Amino acid sequence: MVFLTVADLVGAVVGIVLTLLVFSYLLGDNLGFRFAIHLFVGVSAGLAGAVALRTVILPHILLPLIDFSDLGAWFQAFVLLVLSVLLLAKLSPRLGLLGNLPMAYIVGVGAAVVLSGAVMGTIFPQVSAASDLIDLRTLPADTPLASLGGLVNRVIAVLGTIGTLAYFHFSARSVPNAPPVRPDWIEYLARIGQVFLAVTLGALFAGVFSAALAAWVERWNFIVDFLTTIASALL
Amino acid sequence: MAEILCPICGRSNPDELDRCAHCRASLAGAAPAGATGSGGEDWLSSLRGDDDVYREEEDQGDWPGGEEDIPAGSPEADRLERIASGSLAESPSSPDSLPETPPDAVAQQDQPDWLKELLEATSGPADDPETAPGEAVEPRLEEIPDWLNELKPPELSAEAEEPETGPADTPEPLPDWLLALGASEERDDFEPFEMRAVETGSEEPEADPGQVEPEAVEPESDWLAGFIDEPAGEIPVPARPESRESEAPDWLSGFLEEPGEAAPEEERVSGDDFPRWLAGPPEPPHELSHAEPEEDLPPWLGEFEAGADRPETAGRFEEGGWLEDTGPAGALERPKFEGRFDDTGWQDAEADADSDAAGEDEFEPAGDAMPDWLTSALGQVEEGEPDDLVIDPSVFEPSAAGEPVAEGETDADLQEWLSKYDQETEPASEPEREAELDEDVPQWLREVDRVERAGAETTEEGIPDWLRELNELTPAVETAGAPTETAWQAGETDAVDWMPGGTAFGALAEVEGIEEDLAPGDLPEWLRAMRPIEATAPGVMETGESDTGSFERVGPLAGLRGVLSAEPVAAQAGKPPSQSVRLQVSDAQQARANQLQKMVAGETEPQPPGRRPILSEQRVLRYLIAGLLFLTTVLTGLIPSRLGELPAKPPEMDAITPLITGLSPESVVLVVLDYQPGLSGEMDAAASGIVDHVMIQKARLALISTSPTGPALGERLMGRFAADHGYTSGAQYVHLGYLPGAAAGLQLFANAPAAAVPGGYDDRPFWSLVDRAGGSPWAQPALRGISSLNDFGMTLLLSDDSETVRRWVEQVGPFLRPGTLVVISSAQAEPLVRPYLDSGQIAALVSGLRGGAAYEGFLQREGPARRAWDGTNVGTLAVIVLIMGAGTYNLYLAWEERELLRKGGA
Repeated sequence: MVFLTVADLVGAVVGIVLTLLVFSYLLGDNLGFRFAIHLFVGVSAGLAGAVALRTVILPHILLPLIDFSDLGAWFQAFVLLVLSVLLLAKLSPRLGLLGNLPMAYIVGVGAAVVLSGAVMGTIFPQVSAASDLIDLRTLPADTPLASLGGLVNRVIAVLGTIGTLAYFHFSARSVPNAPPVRPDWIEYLARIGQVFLAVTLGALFAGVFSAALAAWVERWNFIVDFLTTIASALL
Repeated sequence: MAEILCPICGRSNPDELDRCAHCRASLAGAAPAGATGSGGEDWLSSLRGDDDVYREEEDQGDWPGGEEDIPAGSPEADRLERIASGSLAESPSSPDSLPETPPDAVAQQDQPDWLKELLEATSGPADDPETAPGEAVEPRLEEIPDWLNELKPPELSAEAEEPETGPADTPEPLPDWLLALGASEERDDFEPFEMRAVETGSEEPEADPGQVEPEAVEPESDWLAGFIDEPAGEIPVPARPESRESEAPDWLSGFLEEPGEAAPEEERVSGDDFPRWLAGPPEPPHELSHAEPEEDLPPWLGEFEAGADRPETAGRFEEGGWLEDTGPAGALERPKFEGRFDDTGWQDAEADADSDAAGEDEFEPAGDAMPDWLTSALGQVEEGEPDDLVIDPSVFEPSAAGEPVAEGETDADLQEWLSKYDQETEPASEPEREAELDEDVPQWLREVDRVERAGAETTEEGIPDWLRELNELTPAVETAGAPTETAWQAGETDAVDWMPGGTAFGALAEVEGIEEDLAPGDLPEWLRAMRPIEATAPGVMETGESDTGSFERVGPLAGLRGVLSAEPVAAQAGKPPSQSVRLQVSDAQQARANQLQKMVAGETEPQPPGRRPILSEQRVLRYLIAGLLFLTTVLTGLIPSRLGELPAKPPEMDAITPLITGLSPESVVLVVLDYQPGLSGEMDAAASGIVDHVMIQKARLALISTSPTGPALGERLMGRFAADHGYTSGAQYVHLGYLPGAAAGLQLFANAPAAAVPGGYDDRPFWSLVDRAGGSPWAQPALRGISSLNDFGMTLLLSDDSETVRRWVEQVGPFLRPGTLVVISSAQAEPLVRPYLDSGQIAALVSGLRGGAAYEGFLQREGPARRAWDGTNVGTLAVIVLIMGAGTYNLYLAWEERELLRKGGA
């Protein structure tokens, strides 16, 4: 027997109502659906603002400014404050030019971080991983079948990787009175890569469907569980 | 050689001559050169008396005609008196102004040079008292112009120029030079202009008149006889002076207004002595009398003047015409006769003519004072028969020298003289005349005459262009009734008038009606334009514009006609006329334009939406899918029994169990909650088994999120499991809250976790946050011993986005302890996260509901994954069925369409 508090009860009822409002979209766009959507957006924005204030603005800017014990933190907080104020100038067309400085800082730092992270965290590791597939020393040596299966799997992985990269290779020779054509070997690899891309997109679609279906089931389970709880409590 | 002075013209002449080579005056009794005195006694002196008598009469106002003939106070008398007073007052011959000088001499003094020369050249015949009327042309034949002299052989030319040439009364055969002339006439390169120019030149009248005098007598009488014998109806009567004056060029009109100069010009050399084509067209007397000096005239115009002089004798027989010409002409022409003429008979006729002009402008016979022939002629004129009667007023003029006619000469004498002339000039019959012509005319001339007659009779094609143009320039003369085209102009004949018995002018006129073709002299436009402006002056300038253009009024080209003038163009410069830019559109075009405009406007008008069916196919399909999913999931959830077992743990989850089982209560697990609340159902089901397992291991938890909603999700997650496992905030777990800055924030968090997340997400009041040190999550017991990311025993990354996973892997992964990063992702992000699993950057991967169910199955616990697993499987199966059923239906539709096409094609 599950005992529900008032908060749990109100929260469950609100959750059930909003869930049904969202499901009402099966009947078409309606006011309940739009109300639920706007409510979610508003609550999310308010929550984000509160979280930002509580976890970012206060601990990073305001609190250091009122604490003069650490001048380094204070100066850092002051710089952040200035940059933040300048960034707010973007809201004004006349003062928008002032926001270019913090924007330049953010974009520059972000680009540098992302670029370095992509190179060091994705390209090199992925290239290394793809090349490791060809290393037969790493093949499972348990059984010949496993080794063969691992080999086939690696061949497929390598072929899929190369084929997918070849698919995104758009360099081609110019032919008179004809559209540019890629080299034949690239074209063949691109077709293989296209197959792997289709499989990948199919997997993504299946994942999306599975995620949505899981949410659908979870919501109905929530409703069934609440109704079952209410019914058991009443009974 | 001794020279004698002509008593008339005062020029010197060889003493061998009995007549003045210049004026044809008799040199009998003339004083030798150097002596003074007038001419000697001759017949003219007896007739007209001496100059003293003349002057006495003029002083007494005894005008020709006498007051006894014209009643005082009558219109005629007044008119004559007015004319006399006007002309004589201006005339240098007026006795009042020059009492000692003969009128003609005085006139010569005031006359221009050209007129003097002209008078000198033409004075001879009129002075000769012995010359019959028909002989008046005798000296003219002597005045062979240069061109004839040039045509003549040198010896003959010399003889013609020498005054000592043989006697004139010796009839000689036609000279060779004349034969040469005839031969040259037959040439095609006939140049009448040049020849006439030479002919009309009177600068060399020194040719011996005696040489040709006998030859000229008979032809003269012949053509005169032609006039006399001509039927009354055929006598040409010149047009009325008014019309002629109007037709005359303006510059000629200017001269017509100068009576003092007109009189001597009438004694100009006539062209009667020459062939008619040489003499040019006969002109009306009054026009000829006012001809300009020949120096000022073009050669061809001189022909007109010469032609006008030629019928001098004829004018004597055409007195009626002349009178009519002069009578109505007004006072402009008459004074030239009255001031110098003593012939009372003529004055009578003139008076009568004037009286008629003053009255009805008709001519009446002069009565007894007029000869019979003149009376008859006037009578014919009165009857209005011919209009082209030409009467040369020079007949009634005094001599070229201005000698007055003797007062004693009576009308009876004149009548007798004229009667005698009539008898002498009794016209022969036509055959006789032709016979005479044949006898006298050389063969070449007859050929020429015959050929040209034939040509003229047939067509006008033989008319030279210049003559045709000339005819075209004188249409007004034709309409006025004046002779429009002479026989010479029309090319009808080139007969030689002077030839005895030949085609005299009168005879030709009678036969061919030459006088009808007489045309007044008219300058061509180009010649008019070349005249000096003084000659054109008042009349022309008043006229301004003409048919051919305007006169240039200023500048060096002033007076010229046809000049391209810039003034009018410049004066017209101004604002150009405005052109309407309005498009001219017809009704049909306007209708089409309106239709097109409606079509364009209709494109932008909103169209009412079509009525949608209550239940569209897609909507029905949507309902069917929703209902199917609802039934499968809800009904499956309501069923207490499980439809299937949980899946086995996949290989990618093999690394999770050793990691979790390796955790201790001292271990701190970093749990990253980077997923959206909408996917919390899946993520909660996927992560519940792992989190539960970690809590079973009593590992401490540090929750953090790069999403603002992440702290709330973390709070919800801990709320679900904390109570079951006895976890409290700060002791077993800490909520780091929101990590801002995305990749940069992750980078900072990886390098300095405490700096990136200075505060935590807890339930402390707002004012308690001032205590930064006390409120720091890094100071919480849950994070004890944690200074870097490498201190975390395990990192659970819950994410529904592959990008978030990549960001964590890229920025934070290198800072984590190797092989401790476990990703719990949504099923939709699994395909993009798996490469990091294969690369070893991720130790394990739990994907979606399936991964969570598998881990719950591994744990042998029933959690949310298990509750959702049956419904998800049934729903997935239902969706698979729907997809396969829809695909099959689409295949059926395609097959059916193909079959229809195949049947249709067959």
